[in-house]
Amino acid sequence: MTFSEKIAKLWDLRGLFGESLGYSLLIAFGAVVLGFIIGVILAVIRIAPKTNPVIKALDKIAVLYITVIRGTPTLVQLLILYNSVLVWFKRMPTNLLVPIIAFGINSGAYMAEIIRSGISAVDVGQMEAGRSMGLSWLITMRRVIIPQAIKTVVPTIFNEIIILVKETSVVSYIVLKVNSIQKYDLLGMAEKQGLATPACYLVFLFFAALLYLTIVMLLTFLQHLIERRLKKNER
Amino acid sequence: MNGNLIEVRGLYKYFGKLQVLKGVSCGIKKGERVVVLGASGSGKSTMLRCMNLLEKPTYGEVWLDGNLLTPVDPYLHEEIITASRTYKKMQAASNGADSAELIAEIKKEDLLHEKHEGAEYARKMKAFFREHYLDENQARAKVGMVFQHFNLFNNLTVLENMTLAPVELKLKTKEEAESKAMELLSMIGLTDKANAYPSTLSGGQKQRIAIVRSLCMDPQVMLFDEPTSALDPEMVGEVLDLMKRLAAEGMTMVVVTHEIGFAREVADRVLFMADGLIAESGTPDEIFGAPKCERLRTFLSKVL
Ligand SMILES: Nc1ncnc2c1ncn2[C@@H]1O[C@H](COP(=O)(O)OP(=O)(O)OP(=O)(O)O)[C@@H](O)[C@H]1O
Ligand SMILES: [Mg+2]
Repeated sequence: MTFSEKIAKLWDLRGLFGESLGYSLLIAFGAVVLGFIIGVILAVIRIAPKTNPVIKALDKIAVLYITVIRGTPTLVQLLILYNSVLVWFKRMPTNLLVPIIAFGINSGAYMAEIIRSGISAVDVGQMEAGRSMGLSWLITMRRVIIPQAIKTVVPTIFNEIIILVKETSVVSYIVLKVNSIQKYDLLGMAEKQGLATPACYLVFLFFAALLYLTIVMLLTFLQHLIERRLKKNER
Repeated sequence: MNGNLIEVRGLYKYFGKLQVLKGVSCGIKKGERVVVLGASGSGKSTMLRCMNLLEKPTYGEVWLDGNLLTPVDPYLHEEIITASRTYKKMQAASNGADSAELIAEIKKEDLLHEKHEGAEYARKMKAFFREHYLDENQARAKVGMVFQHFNLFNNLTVLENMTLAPVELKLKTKEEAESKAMELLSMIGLTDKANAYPSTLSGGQKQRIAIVRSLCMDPQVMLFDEPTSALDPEMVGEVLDLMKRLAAEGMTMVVVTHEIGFAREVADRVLFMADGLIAESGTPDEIFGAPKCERLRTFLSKVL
């Protein structure tokens, strides 16, 4: 097979690759949103003054969560969730939520530590000012501290998002289904088509790599846009 | 409490083993302007911060306008001490000793132990607490505080800084809060900064905005912790002028400062703190003209 034939083959498959890219992005996007929400909640629990037993217990749980999730491979977590779901709900025509939740839970642990470090970096005077006016701890957190914390951790958060986008490629280890039809993420599609046309396997892999790279570059662009926007807010 | 707007009773504060306040008591009357002086580390900030519970006193009580802000300190209430099992036991054993002596001994030896004082004692504590207690957030909404480092909210504009708390606490609608804020900004000549972020302001502007941010809450009293210490010298005047203006309008103020001139001009009363206690208290004339205690004389010889 000549190179131009391989490219022609790739061109024929463009629709399938496009669709698989969509699934990769959908999973990554869902996981980022979920991870961010989990991260903020865990960070706030970790940073809250340990004044009552409920908060102390929640803090213990948060520590356990972060330790376990950061201490085990993402792929293992994904497979455990996937197989548990298989056991509990045998028939699941659409299972996109499984990887979204698995990656979201995973990312939440990392986001929590990132956001917590951002919160600790905010001057304690900001909380004191809020409290001195009668605002509760939680309201001051929400309106004053967290917005400032997020701003300082934008680069680190984006770093985490970029890692997550690439890490979603391990979903090719599980069987994705939409309305009972098997679907593939980007890497999964490259592998499937590579099996069908072994001569083109490398081309497909390079193409997948190129698409991941493009997404990461777009994310980096978005990061700079946001950073510039946030800086402007101070001037 | 005795007609005082703020009353501090028997305040002790420990940071770990370090005893910073050693039984401070003082009252601030409505409309009074009190300046607190003292060497670095004497506990001025700690006392001030206990007044709005930014620090939690280890023992003692803080009252605001007749409301108790701290837990009940049993040692400050004879009727609670006499309800305790410890007191009753001592009374029985001492066959008719003077109750004032017993109470003094209980206080001195710290003999009360919450868990073993019996139901009557617990009931009295609870009843007293229920009758007088005010939630800390509600109390703080009535007490303005101005910090050395301004502490404007960096993520909010000047106007948002001023309206956040009154709106969030539903003391004012957004429109009311904004019109009040603009009124205050025009008083200090900074209406053009309403939509600016704090990082674009000078230190003097930040501090004046921090002051009017507190005023936007219509506080009953304002606490100032070295409001001019972090400012460049040329900006100190504008902040002091604003504070003098507040004083002239009758605001109740407690001001920790090293500005002796301000104390002389504005204070109704000066408290001199040394070593975790109020070592001397009096009018500016008494404090600066005829200081009684040695430590005050030494302090004044250094700062004047
Ligand atoms: N959060 C804290 N933890 C531990 N020690 C503290 C804390 N805050 C204050 N201290 C200590 O308590 C003592 C009194 O502090 P405080 O800030 O009340 O003094 P001050 O009179 O305001 O002094 P300055 O003029 O320097 O502001 C100091 O020795 C200080 O180191
Ligand atoms: Mg101080």
